[in-house]
Amino acid sequence: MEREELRQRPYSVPDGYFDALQTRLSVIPQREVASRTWMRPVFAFATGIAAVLVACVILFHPSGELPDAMTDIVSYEQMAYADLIPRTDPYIYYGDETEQPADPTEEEMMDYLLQNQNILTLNDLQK
Amino acid sequence: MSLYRAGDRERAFGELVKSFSERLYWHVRGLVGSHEDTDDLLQDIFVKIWNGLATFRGDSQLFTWVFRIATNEALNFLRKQSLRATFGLEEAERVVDNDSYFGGNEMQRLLAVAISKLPPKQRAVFNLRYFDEMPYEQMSEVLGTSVGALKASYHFAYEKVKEYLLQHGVE
Repeated sequence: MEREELRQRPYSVPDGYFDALQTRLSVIPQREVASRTWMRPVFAFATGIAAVLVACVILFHPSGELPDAMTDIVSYEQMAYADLIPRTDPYIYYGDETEQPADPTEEEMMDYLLQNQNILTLNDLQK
Repeated sequence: MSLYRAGDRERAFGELVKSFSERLYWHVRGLVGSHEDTDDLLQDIFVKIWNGLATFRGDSQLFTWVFRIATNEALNFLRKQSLRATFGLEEAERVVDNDSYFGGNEMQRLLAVAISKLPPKQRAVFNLRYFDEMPYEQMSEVLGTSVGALKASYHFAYEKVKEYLLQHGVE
């Protein structure tokens, strides 16, 4: 194993190989710069498309889950028409339809009558 | 690297190619065996060198950094060809005999067959020490292995190759 001939690599290469190799390798910088220049707008376009898709998902599926179709339609309509609901009658949409308003207490009735003096005056006149 | 830092990156890379291409060729050739595969790998290696130059911190010598890239690429190539990573005897002989650029005598052929039978990393250690006479400390930086482990690996590789040669009448 210590023979000198064994320490020489026994392979050869085609004539002029290393000169040609250096020439081929030397163009790598230009090739790499050119490929990056070409790919930059492609990546920018792909990133833009991805951003639009993510925005659509967030806007139309805020819960992040697949919605129950009927529930979401009602919710959407509630939100869409919320501004049109008269503020004096919140039970039209936000209340449970089966819930009945409680009967006014005697105190509430007295307050109501005192605030509406025309009614008192009219009652007084009728008496 | 001074050329590179001065902004003349392409010229710096050209100097690197001139300095290392032939040496890296023989190093990779000793690992993968085939001239065509070596040629393909060198393209990939120098692309990685070009891309890595911007982040080369200089905490190791340029030589060891370049050799590390080349060795890793060659070992990854052999790993992908896992069937050929550790040759059986017939496969090792076939690879050497089919190499049209093998110009050695019978003794060198037997040595090439024996080396081809070694596991890839052990093959790298053997080649770097036996053919390139690389110091263990430098080899440690190239292969990322301790000096002690490299000495043990070379010892086992040497004994395996020697035994193979003895079995075939080479002393």
